[in-house]
Amino acid sequence: MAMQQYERRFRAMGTDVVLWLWHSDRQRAQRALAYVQRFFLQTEARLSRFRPHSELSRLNRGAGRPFRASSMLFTLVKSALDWRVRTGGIFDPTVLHALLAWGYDRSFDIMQTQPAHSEEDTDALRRPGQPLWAAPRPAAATAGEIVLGPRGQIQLPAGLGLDLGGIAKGWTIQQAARRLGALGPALVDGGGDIACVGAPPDGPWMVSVADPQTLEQDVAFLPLSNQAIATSSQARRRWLHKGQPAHHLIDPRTGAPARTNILSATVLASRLPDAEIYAKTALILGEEEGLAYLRTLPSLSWLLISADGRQQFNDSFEKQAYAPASNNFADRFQVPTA
Amino acid sequence: MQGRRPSTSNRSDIKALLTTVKLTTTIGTVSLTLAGWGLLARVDATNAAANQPSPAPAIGAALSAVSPTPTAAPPTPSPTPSPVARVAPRRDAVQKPGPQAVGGQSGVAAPAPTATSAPTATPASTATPAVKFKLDIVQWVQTRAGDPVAVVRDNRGILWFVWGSDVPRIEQGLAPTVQPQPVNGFGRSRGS
Repeated sequence: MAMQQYERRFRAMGTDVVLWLWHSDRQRAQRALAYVQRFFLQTEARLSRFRPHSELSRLNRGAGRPFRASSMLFTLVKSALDWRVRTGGIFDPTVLHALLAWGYDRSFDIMQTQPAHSEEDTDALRRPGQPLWAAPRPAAATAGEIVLGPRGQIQLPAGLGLDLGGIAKGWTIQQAARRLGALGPALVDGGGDIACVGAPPDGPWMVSVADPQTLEQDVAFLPLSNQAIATSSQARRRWLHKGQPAHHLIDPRTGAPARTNILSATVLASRLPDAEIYAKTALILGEEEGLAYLRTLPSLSWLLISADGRQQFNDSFEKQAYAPASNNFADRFQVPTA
Repeated sequence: MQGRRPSTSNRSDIKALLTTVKLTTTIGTVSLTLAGWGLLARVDATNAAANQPSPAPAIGAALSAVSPTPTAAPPTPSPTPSPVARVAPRRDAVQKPGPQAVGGQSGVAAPAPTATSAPTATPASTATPAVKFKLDIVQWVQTRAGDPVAVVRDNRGILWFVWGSDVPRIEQGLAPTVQPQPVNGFGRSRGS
């Protein structure tokens, strides 16, 4: 029986999720898609910082005391802390209180539909006497102070909170792709963070990269197979906080939304959490440092778009991508004549 | 006081009127029922397409339904290229094309201009530069607005929708004015 393409769309983790699966058995495909949807919802219930009863929220409330975490939470916290070391602290899961101080205290869906909280609430979140741009940052917190013990034990220092947003979503999408990929070619798209396994029978998965300036056009198309792609962008999840523009990418060095001349960073890697973190780190570092950082990672393909619209990419990206702004786009259509 | 009985002619008028009303009502009922069935069927189809994890049509199926054999492409597409089939591309980008600049150096590219209006179906230049190569056009289709679009196979075997008037441009080695769109496009990485 020939393989067919099955699709499921739903909302989870504050974003639109799409699952694609090629399979020859309709019932099995539907069961698998339903299972993965449940997996998303269960993972969100466990790892969301916006849900007061989630395991992550309980860990954060219990800062200062030992906490017995599930293997999922423990694995992710450990991974996030490892990445914190590997990126020199630029990727930092301990920026929760800075995010809260900048008003990102509800899911973005709710932030868009409900007015911001009162000035008093905001003031209560920051330290007295500090300007808002230097919002409270757990300055004393270091990776060394978070204790990871045996049998899933985690102890956060008092006053510290974790936000696993990006890494948790990337991990969930990657896991979902892996589970679906055990049945057939699969692609999982969680709000633009994408992981795929295999390729459909009629060619690779074609994925585009949105132009962060217009969000309507695409700056590149990429044929993907067994790869993941993530884009970190200042153009999305923006809001005004006390009259100042804010976004969700906190620079741990300042405790404020990153002031960077990179509008968006796109990275392709073999695993989505890696792509997600590399992209975020490059964006926070800014053009000069971000480029230098990415050039130390030859296994990646990447595209940086500066605030003034310039596109910079490495050879690997250019080789793989159909980038209309590069001079090789039309060349792709040259086929040998018989 | 005794009421007047209606005259015979009045009675027949009333009878005729009643018959007409009856007939109209019957026709109306039948029409409404049929229309209702039609609407329900359409709603069902829309729901099935939108919500059910049912197989989405692959481009191969869509194309074979339109034209069983690949067709020879007209060298310069006119507003009514022949043969033309009506296919709704999976992405509306073809219907609302957004031209992108192509150029710049490898590694550092110039910023892309914003979208402009859709190009006309006539080639951009009256002077005809030499054709450098021929596109592998699998089929000609049309947008809902009637604009010709070529389904082109590239040198990696990937199918693209190429705006009709861009076909001669690309064959002359020029950049397309409208961003070609992959026929089998899936995700879109856009920052999350």
